[in-house]
Amino acid sequence: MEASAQVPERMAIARRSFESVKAELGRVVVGHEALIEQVFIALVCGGHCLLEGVPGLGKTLMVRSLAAALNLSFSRIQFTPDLMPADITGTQMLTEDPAGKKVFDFQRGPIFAHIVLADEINRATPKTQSALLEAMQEQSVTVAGKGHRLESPFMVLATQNPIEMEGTYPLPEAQVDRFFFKLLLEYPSRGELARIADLTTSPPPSALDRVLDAETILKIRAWVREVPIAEAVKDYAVRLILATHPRMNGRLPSAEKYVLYGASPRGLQSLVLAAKARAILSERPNVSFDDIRAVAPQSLRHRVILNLEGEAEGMTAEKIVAEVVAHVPEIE
Amino acid sequence: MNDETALLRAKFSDLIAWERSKRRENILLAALAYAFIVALVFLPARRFLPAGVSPLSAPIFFFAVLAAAHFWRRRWRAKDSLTALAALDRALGLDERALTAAEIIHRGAPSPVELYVLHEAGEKLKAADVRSLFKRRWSWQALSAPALIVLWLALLWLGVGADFGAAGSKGGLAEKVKDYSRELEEKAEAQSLKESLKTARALKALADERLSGKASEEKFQQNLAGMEKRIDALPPAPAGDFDFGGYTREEAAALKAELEAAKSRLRSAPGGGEKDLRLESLPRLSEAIQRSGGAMENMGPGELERWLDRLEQQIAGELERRSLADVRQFLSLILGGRDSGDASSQAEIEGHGRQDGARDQDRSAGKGKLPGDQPGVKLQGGQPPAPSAGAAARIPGVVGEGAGSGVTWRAEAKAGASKVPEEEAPASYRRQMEEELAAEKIPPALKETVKKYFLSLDDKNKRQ
Repeated sequence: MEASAQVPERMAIARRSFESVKAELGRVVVGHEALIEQVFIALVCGGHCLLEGVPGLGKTLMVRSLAAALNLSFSRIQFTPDLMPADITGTQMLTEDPAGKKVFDFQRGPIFAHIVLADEINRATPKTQSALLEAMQEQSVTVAGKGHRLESPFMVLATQNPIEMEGTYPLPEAQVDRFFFKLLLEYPSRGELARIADLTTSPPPSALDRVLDAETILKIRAWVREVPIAEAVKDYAVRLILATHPRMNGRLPSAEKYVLYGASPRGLQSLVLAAKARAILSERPNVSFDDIRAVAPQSLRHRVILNLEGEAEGMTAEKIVAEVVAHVPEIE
Repeated sequence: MNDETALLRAKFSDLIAWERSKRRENILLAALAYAFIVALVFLPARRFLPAGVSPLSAPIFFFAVLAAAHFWRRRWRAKDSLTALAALDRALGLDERALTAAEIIHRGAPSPVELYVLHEAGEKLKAADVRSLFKRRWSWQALSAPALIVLWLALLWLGVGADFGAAGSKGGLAEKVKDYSRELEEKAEAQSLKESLKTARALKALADERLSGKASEEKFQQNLAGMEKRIDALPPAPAGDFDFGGYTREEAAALKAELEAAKSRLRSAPGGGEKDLRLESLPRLSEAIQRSGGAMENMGPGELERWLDRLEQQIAGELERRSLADVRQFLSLILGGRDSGDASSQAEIEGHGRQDGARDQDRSAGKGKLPGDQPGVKLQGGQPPAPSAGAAARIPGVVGEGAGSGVTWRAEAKAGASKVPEEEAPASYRRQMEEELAAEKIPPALKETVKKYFLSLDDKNKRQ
């Protein structure tokens, strides 16, 4: 009885945390309210985000501001073709101990931070990309046969530019699948552009307050996993995943025609967990169909791989996911 | 929390019971509407129902079948309970709290968060009345059911379908009987046959009763059988001096007409003797006198008239007897269950005149009643058209030899030249003219004009 009485309080904490982070980011980031919510959801779910947008939309600013507002350690890695895995994970350095004996000492790389910004991740070689992706999946790195645990909470926010493909190494599908969300940054509106002009051409705002600590984030993560989801709602999420597959029962005609591979089981995990986080941020103790629908695009868009026909006809994974959400009935 | 669980259980049970009840109602109303739609479609074929089966049995049967099919197809499943709960969530803006709570209650052993879900759901559902939230919504089938029933009853009352499918079915007997009664009535009126007229009207009434649906097929057939017995029970005509065995019905009718003409001449003649009869223009009567062995020789005017009266009564009795025999034969044929579509039986039913007398055998042997070049003399060698299956066609009798008679064949009308040579047609007209003049059906003032007209036809033909 007492435990259930604490539930509204927990939900209120989660909600307040999100509101305070959003308000703090709003001081320096113009627009992108939905994006901030999605990044926060990924954070409280323990996921990583792939941010895609043309240059100058404030991807880096948003990630830096998030780290600043969260009272978490932050590091930024600018991915370039000559970046080596050791530049990310760290390396063994030959040093002298106090006794004057030569020993190898592990120098931690930039990956050892709570929030890691992997800027333009598609510019690094696959070898370097996979070093980062291993860290993302395992939350640990192995250097010279020795494993090193990363800090918790740990979140990678990788960015990529969709228009400059020259000299890039697009992420393989298996690696893209490891991102909890793929978020698209949209071009600012007229009013937002005017505010950007004001903010960036006037005296800089004061430093952001640290409104959320790691401990609270980890608590919210635990609460998110306790949110109950009805079988019918879960079944809806499962049917959404199956509908993206070209050869599964319950597939959509467009998926059958244009999709090479549908969403993976990781997509389902992302869908359900993100829906739970959304529910708790709405101060609701259970998952609704709307929660599933709301997180479906960012959870599934990078997990649906189009075939040649789809590419040729200008079909996008976005459209497929939107069609799946529109056509799959809530209860079947 | 136990109270909340109990409350939620009660609410969910109430909701599902209510939804199930609405579904049952909808299924029944939909089945009713569809049953009457099907019954309306099949209403024209209600004649095919077995005798004694009410037309109402059709919609009842369709309703039973459709309701059973609907109940099976739309039986209540677990999915329907979930749909009802999801609808409750939507109606009250519960964001699937009811759906989740129902599952938690079913599963048992709730976690603290799940208990809170139950608490929230209980709070929001406490004041909710599912019956007012989800009121009955009448489908188009439910709304149209009363109209369809009324329409069906109206069409039934108007007798729609009573005439459909008459041909080729037992129900089509009524139509045949009606056609036959019409012909019989005309003939009986023309020949002043009282009993035949009465019989014709009775047959017509029976046919109308069946066609309007007031009597079943079985009842109708029973009535026809009763009519047949009534005809059998009629007293035979008194025996007379004359033997009409060798007369066809047409010849007998012609004789009757000549008798009337003769009596009329007697009454209008000052002497009232045999010479006033002008027997040369009354061939049938002349023949009858010859066959009686000159019975009327040396008769006075009074005796002659009485002799003619007696002859007329006997010939009228003979015509009545033959007419009723035809009716009797017709009834026994149709009640015998003969296939009405069969060409030969159809011919026999309607062409009953062929079984009249010995002379009819000549006709069937090839000596048709074709016109001749002299009044009363037939051409030899004429052949009646061969019957063939198909639509009905009527072959009229020859005008001028008495009352019209015909044989109806189920035959296809075929184009072709007349079998009567053109040069013979005026002779036929002439003979007809002479008979009409002799029978004094032409007013005296116009007799010369009519004669000239028909003679001119002959002259014209000869010139051509």
